[in-house]
Amino acid sequence: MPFSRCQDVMARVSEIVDGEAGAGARARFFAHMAMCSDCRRYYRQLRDVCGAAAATADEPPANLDAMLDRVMEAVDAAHSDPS
Amino acid sequence: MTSNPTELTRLQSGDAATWRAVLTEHGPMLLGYATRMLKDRALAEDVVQDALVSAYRKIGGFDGRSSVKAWLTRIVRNRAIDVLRGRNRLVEMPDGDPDAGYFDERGRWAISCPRFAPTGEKALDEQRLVDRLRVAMDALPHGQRDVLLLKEVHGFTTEEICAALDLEPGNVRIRIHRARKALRAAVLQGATLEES
Ligand SMILES: [Zn+2]
Repeated sequence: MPFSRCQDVMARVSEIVDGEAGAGARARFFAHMAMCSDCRRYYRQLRDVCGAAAATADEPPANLDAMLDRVMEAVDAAHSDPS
Repeated sequence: MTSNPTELTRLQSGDAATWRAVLTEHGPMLLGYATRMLKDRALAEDVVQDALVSAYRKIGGFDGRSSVKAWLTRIVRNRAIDVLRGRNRLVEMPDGDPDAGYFDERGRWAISCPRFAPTGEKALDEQRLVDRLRVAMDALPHGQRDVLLLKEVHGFTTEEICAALDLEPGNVRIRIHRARKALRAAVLQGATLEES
């Protein structure tokens, strides 16, 4: 197998991060990672970015119930008004 | 994933308890998503409230082919985009590849892959990466921000993202990949700013 083009390898990196690549593609990907420090760095960065993105989530707002009450009021009004 | 038919029938008949359960389950996600899209909590509350009331009115026409969660997200998303467009705050997606210039004509690295932490450190510590990511995500074009919020923050499957954004699966995968590349590039840019 010739040394894969880095650009082609990096085009698959999202599939690898998501575990969507098949066994063969995974094996080729990590064989390339073992030989190529630039692709390895890029892969780790993308993986870390994806992993940490979930941690940017906000705490649920304290006033959510009030908003849902307003929605339910509007819903109840719409339900009891057949027009 | 399609809707649970029993739940959908109850929602379509206007059953208040089922509506409250569904809104309680998905409300925090919808509000969190809208807040990050609009970058304005009060405005996001208005948008989500309007979207949910509109969902209630429109659910008779919903065929249940996607989950209720994806359907609600789509309504919130469309309304948020309309608001942003109306205020001229919608950031369109750029055509360029954020990694342009990385590879030579043989597909090899033309430059060495840049580090997130150029001066000595081996890696960013977790909290600094999260802080930087938040800033970077908020600065992304909305078409990339929405796909990342749904995928990485709210854990939507590709199928749910397809339903919420009205895209084909192949298209969603491409958008996720591009959005991640853009996010990585934005984190890198933030790193360069921090170091200078
Ligand atoms: Zn490589």
